Amino acid sequence: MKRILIVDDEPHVSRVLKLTLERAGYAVRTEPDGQAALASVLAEPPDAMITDIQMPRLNGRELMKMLHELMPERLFPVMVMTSMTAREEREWVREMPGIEFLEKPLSPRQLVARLNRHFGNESTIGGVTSDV
Amino acid sequence: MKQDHLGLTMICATLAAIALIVAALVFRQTTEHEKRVHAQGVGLTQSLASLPFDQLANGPEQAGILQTMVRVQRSPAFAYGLLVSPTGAKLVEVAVASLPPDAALPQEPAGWFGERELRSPEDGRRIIEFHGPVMRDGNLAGFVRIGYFATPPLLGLEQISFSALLALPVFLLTPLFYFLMRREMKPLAALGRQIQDMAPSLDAPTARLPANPQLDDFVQRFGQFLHATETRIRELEAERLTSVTSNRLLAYKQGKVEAVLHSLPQGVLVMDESCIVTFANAKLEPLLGASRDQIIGQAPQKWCSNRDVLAFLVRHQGHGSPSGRTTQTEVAVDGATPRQIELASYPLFSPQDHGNIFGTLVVFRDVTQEHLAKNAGAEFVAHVSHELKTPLNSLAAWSEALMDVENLTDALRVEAANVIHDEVQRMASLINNLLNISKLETGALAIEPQRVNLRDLLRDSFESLRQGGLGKGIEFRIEVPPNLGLAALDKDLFRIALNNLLSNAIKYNVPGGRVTLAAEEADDQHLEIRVRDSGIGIPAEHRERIFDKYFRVTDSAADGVTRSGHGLGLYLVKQIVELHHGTIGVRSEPGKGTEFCIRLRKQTTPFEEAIAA
Repeated sequence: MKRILIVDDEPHVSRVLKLTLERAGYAVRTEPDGQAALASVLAEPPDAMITDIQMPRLNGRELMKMLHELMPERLFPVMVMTSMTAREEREWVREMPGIEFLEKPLSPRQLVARLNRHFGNESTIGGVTSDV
Repeated sequence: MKQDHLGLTMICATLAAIALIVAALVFRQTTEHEKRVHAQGVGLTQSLASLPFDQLANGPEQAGILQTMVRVQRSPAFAYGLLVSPTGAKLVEVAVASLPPDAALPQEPAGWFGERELRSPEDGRRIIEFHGPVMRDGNLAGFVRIGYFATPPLLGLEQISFSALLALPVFLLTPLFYFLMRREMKPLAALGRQIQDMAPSLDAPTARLPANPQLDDFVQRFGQFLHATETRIRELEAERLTSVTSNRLLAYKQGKVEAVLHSLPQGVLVMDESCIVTFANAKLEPLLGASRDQIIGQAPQKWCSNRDVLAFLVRHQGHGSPSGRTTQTEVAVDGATPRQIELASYPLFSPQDHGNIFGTLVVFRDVTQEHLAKNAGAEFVAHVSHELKTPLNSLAAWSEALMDVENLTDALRVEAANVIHDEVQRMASLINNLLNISKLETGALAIEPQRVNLRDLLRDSFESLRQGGLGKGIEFRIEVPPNLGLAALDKDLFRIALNNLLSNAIKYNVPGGRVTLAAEEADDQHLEIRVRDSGIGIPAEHRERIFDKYFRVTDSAADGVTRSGHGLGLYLVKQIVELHHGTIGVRSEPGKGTEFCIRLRKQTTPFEEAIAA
């Protein structure tokens, strides 16, 4: 079971993502800000991380910088939730390896599809499946 | 001609003077002659009378004594000498120049010696005759009569020469004086002609001296000259007044222009073509950090410490503005507070020749505030869009969850409905605030005050906010006395203000905290409404600015919980309170809590109004 870390200060958002991903067969844990997420990652690296950018304490960008320095050999993919309009955010995201965008407003089903594709689970494309 | 007349007069006057001198001389000579004749006559008569008769009358051959004595006299005026008997018969006669006239002799002894005037029987000349008695043996024997011409026979040669000697210098001096005078008059006459040439079209003279045509001419011209001078002086005085007036007007206008330039909100600098500053207004000093004295008359290199500003200014050296067009740039200026300054240069075209540029006008505009506002505006837009997108994000995700009917449980449906409701409320609140502010700023939001029972309004707001804040572990308290007065309020607007304050009090609170809404009558005139929380408080450095539009405290709170405002809530509160002629203040202590206090004018109740009436 792939472990997914969701980092978002909006509890409503992380809640619905967690519900959807869990139903798609992922083990999901959530953190409300970058600092907590960093601690969580260092303690137990996930298989994939989904993070917001605007967050208290440590924002998404700072979190990625820290991760990059602390875990240069990071193997798990990171998906950053951002909107089309935030161009300057795309700049720094592009400069860092292994980061993808997630378009806001986020469709949980598309997120599941992305993750399934990433982890090579063809059967989940376009829908939500039960435990893998 | 006039000069000739003068010369003739001079000659006549000279002749008259000579005649006068000669007459005086003649008169003097006559007088002296008479005196001399008198003295001679009296002396001779007395000496002859003292001689004995016989000695005098010794016959014609012995008449020598009389003759001798007369000859001794040697007087040119001597006319005759006679010895006569008492009856008048001539005994001895010495006639020199004239025959003695016949004349009776006095008989009385008192008249024996005497003097009388007679006329010569030959030519009637005046003769002064002296006579005296001649005695013989104590008896009168005869008389001596001595006659002199009263006037000297002719003026002697010496006297003529003396007169001539006197007359000659007078005669010579007169023309000399005349020519000297003419010489003196010449420049005057020339001056007169000159004056006439200078002012040929002048009026009649002010005075006339008919006695002296030359002087008259001069006076006439001098009068004209004076007149012309006076006219010129009057003209000059008028010109001077005009020029003084126009100078003052110019100075006034210049002063006005300078005052305008000094009071412009922008810094104004004028440079000539060689980049020397010719004018700088006072607003430049804080912008450039140099005093006007340092700036004016100097090249920018002398006083400009900012490289960008200097580069902009020296670009205009030599040819006014590059390509003669307006140029503009923005530079950051360091200082106590960093500033953003916009520099704009305008070529100053010569008013006569528009192709000629004689300098450059540089306008310094402090755009720091604009930059801040622009940045704040951009930040605000970014923030508002984020604020709007966040609930959208949530809404999109949850509505998708609702669509997944296969896996939809009742619990999930309830949760989704609640989330959607919350998020819609959140968006609606934000959008309402935005709309209200834009209405306030465009003046479209009209205030409709009504007499409102403040207690009811406060309780109303409090209740609705308390409902929303339930489940956050916050204690809600309301302390409003039942007899709180009335206020003239726009209910809907004022509720927005109260709701904003109360939702802030909840948002910036901590679990286990407290929100208190209190109201009281501050005095006879005023009511005070307080919204108090025991939350995170506002750092002192931000307290001044919390009512500013777009201002948000961006620092993370000490407890690490994010409470993102949109920078509009308190701004709107303040606008609304001020629309109600009230004031709002804040007291806060970081970590302890914040209290907002609204002060409003109290309305008298109809009952109180009735009593007062």
